[in-house]
Amino acid sequence: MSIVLKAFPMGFLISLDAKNNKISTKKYDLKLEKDNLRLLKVATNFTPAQIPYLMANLEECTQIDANTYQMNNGLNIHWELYNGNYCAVLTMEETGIFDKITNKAQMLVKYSETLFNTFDVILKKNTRDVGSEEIFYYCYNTHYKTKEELLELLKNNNIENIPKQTETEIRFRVNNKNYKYIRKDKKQNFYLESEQKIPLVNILSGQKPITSKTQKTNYTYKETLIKTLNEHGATNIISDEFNVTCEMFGMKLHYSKDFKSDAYNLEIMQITNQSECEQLLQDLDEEYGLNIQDLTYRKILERIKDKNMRLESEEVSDDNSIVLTIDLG
Amino acid sequence: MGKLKIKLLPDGTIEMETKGIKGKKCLDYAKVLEQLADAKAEKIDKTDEYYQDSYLELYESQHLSDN
Repeated sequence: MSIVLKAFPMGFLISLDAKNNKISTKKYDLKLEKDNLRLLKVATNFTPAQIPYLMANLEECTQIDANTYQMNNGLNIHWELYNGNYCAVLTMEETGIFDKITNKAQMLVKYSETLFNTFDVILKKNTRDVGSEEIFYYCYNTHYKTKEELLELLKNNNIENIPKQTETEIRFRVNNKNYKYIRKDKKQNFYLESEQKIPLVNILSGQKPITSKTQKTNYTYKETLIKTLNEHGATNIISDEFNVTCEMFGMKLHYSKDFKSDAYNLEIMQITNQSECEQLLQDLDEEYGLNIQDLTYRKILERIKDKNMRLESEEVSDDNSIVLTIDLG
Repeated sequence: MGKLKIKLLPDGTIEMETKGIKGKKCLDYAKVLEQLADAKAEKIDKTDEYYQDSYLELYESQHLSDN
């Protein structure tokens, strides 16, 4: 008697349908409206000593506290550390004489551009961190008043990745984008805040911003993934329990574990050449497969001894398959 | 005793064929492969030989009980 079978190592997601499938778009992929822009985060290449020097050189600027300044035009600048860089958190003042400004989103962009152009002139160089992303936060009013209403809404949209929920704030992730429902006090309705990251290189070169490419992979083994990335010359590989990030050919890759399928989702940023990106993904797929083949080969040879089996022969066929014939004794 | 012919493909997937294993026992080797390779058998096809042997087994057991 005999059977033939096909098997998938656990290093793969069982369903190969996941391969190259884009994550389904849900209604939370909001169309970002320019008028809803409320906050900008801009990473810089400043040293700690340069910030007080630069701020002192700005005209019409008042220091509010140790890290916060306000320009006479209503632009608020708050300095904070973000991913190891000093980052300017820019907002428009919402109260007092600035109530009358109706197009605050446009003013925020305009005044922020002017501010950084001034910094560039003072330091005689580009002061933004070219390798970084600028983060745009958009706010939308909602009619929701309770946490329960929102949790029901998220449940109905099959959103399960909700790392934080309190009476005044619910954070969640969809398609590798961060969102949060937030309200300042219990009397108010919640508003929705959406985060969009745009590589600075796209902004500086005036290109149309490229939304990060996101797709599912069928990779499940972290070690094999890291080995594959290393073999492809990836740099700055950083990993934790659920994430692997690296840089390759000027692109930033972020693999994050999908708890439902156990496979990694991939977000690629700073894509400048679409076909180069597609080729890289194909190469990584092939390399990951070869690494799994090697891993499986070593496991089988090691384990047959414990089962009183014997390797009768092994050969490599023309298609680079390894054929093992095992005598069951 | 029989043999297992295991093919490790470059895309990481595995194919296996059993040879010369008597009875339905050959199905047990799907489990063995899963243990050897940390894998999950996704598709098992019985060959013509499997059905031929099953028919013979059935015929033989029926023949014995008839007698």
